[in-house]
Amino acid sequence: MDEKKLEAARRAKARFSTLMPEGVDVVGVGIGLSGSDPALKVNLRSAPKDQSALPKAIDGVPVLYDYVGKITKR
Amino acid sequence: MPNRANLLDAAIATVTKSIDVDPLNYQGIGKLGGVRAAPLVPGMEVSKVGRTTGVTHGRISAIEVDKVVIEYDLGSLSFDNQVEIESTGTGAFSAVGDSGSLILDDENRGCALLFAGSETGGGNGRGLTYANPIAIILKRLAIDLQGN
Repeated sequence: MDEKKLEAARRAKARFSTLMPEGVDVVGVGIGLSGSDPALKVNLRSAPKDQSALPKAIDGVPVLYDYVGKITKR
Repeated sequence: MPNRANLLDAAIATVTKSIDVDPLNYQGIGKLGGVRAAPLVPGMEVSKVGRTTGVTHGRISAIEVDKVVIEYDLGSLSFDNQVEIESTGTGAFSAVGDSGSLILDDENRGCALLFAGSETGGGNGRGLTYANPIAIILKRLAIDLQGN
């Protein structure tokens, strides 16, 4: 994996919390994969009412959303 | 712990002598190849043997996952620097009862310890599995994996 792109994804992850609209129930923010490049992966408990308000990229790093529901111990 | 993220949920136990188990041989996968030293990367193929779902295969869907909010009996706890796995089969990668499964990379090296999951999300919609990176487990519990 391209180390520069991975670092860019880490920076985007650090900025993510400042760019999220209020009221979105985030249950995880990590570094995933878009094609063969690192991307920001954001897990939400449920889909927000206005999905268009969610950032699609941060500083050129794509943001992927997944709706995961409740996470419990296994 | 208030105001601090959690990093692992793990414990040590001994196996009763009457239980026929070979901890170095993963039925359906092969022999344990020690500990993975290289960093985990998204897209990496993994597998595990679990009490509930048996042998399952998946891929790492995210690394360095922070703010993973997990519902426990005592309330919600947040975890940082977790590994997220999605199934590459038709079912889920894990289910309740699979906690404690060692997750193996494509060379059967231990790379993470399974502890939580969701019922939805992931590539096939059957949920995501969460695991602690193996390095912090070995360090905090002061243990090692044979073959390392």
